[in-house]
Amino acid sequence: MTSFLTRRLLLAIPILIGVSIVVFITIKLIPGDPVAALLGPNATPQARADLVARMGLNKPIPLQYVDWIWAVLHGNLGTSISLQQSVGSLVLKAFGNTLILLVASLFLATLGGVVLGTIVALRPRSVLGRIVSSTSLGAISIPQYTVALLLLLFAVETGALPTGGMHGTGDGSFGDLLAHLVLPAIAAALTPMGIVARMFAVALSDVLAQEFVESMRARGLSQAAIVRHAMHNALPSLLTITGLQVGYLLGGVLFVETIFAWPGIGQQVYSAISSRDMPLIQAGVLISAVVLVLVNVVVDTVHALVDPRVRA
Amino acid sequence: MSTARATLNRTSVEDIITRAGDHEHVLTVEDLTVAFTRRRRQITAVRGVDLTLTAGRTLVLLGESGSGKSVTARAILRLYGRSATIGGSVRLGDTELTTLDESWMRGIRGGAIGMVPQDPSGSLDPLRRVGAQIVEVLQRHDVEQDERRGRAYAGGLLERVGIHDPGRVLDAFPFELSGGMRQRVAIAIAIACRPRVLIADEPTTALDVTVQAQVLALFTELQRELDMALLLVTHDVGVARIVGDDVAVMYAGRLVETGSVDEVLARPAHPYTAGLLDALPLPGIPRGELLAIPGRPPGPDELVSDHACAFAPRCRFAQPSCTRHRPPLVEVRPGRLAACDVVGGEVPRVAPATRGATARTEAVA
Repeated sequence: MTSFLTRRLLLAIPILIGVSIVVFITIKLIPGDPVAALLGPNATPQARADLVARMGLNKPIPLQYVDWIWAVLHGNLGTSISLQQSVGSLVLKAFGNTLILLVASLFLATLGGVVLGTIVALRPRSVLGRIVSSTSLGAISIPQYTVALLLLLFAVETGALPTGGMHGTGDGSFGDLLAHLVLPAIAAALTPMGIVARMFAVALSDVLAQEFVESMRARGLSQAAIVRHAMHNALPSLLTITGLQVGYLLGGVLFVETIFAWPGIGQQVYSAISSRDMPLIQAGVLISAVVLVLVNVVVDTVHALVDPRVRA
Repeated sequence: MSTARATLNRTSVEDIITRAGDHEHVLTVEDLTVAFTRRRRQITAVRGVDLTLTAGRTLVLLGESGSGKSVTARAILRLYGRSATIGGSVRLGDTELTTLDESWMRGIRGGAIGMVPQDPSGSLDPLRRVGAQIVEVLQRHDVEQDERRGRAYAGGLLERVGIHDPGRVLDAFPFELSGGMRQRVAIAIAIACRPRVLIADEPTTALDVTVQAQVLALFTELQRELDMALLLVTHDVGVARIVGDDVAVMYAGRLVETGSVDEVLARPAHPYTAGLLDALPLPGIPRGELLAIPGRPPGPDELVSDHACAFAPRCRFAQPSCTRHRPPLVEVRPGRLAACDVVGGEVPRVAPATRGATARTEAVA
């Protein structure tokens, strides 16, 4: 197991390097001049040249990358151009908030998807099974912004739930946070939940069609015991499915944040883009990408814990 | 409340199993019909099969794939649930199984009737250790509730099926064992509750030839030891010859011939049985002399008329009357039943011994 984890972590290193290069180049390709953004339209050429030299922008691009990655590895993500604060602490705080929303919607999507998928797999031809099956297809098909707007409308009309932000009363209580979490989490989770439901239904019915299920019936095991075995066997597929959904979910969460004024990385990057705050954009995109890579390592590791054939 | 009901069920199931032991014919199948509904069409896979299993004896159910032999075996245990319509009667001792309550039936499966599946690699949960899977069955049938003692019991079972290092196997995952080992584990689970009847569906088909012989020997040994009735489903005449006492030959969902293995294989009374024997490769016979049965058996979804012999299109003795009238399974000699009224109780054929002899002479010449 230790060797599996070591191998998997070593494998993540080249991926992370690749990710950082892509992030770096993307930022370089974005139109707009950070120097002009910083100094304003009336800067003297001398001031411009000084700033370019100070930011290292006169060096060749590969060297700029090395400088940047070296600083990143030492925990220095630069200074935000618009906010004049350390990007590291800004991004970290925002990402913490994003993580809360991400985990909440991942939980909703997985739990809902597993429950719905199990119903479809166990009773594919029943009325309930058909209803669930078409409901999850519906959940996949509704665009996220429609869901978000409908939820907003619902919240405004009923006044039951807060429509934006993370805290209302400012007392920072858990219940208050939870109330603010409900709508954005549902908005982000709905589509992935539908996908998880449909894919898990297929995975579980595949397991139920395997020969060992009939063998267990022939041994007199109860239906509940057999379903337990089958769920265990469908777990690796579930991990793969949810692992893939995390990427989609992260994208959805960043989008949903701007709608529900959730103070996360999505909102931050969104405002950073409007102010051409390159270091902030760069750090926001980088941390999201790194999290995705790490999630995949976690998924693979849990997969190996569940399935002895993988870790051998 | 639920515990009380469970206890009641268990004693009742135990009672059924004990009573079954008093009957000479532990399991009686009468006029068994199994039909499936596929896309609103009724498909009858088994039609009017009669079988009698006797304690300590082996009945071989012989036939090609698609003949309905595996369906028969599964239908006895009602493994198809609601997806199949089962007609006729299956009795364990004096208890009718086709109408028995499902929760009682679960006690019968694995308790009174053990089953060894065809593919040993697919018969175990791939993600759980072998020991845990045996203990689960022991707990289910109340052989041993305690986990530690259950494990010891499981080790004993593994030794009994010829596994010399039970400790290692108990801790192994199924994928870490060879096919033969896995089949031994499957057999150990099937006999864990000392069943009255053991059903083995092509238990050696997926195994290497050398392992096949060992597993067949194990069956014979266990049967003697536990005084079980064994129903062995196979397409392999060789397997029938080695382990069988009696044989029932199936074709297109019906029995075409029954009798003792020795007699049926020596003097087949149905052209299909004779065809199976002629198609058997014997040492010394060149490939060209194998007599394959022309054509192929009808699949379960093909319509087989109830008023014709299903084998007639492939039969070299077929008469025009064979397609107008289905010959019933009748006694052709004492203890021998066959469903053919053309050959008159014995198929005229070249004896295998002669075929072998001819081949040998030719080889010498």
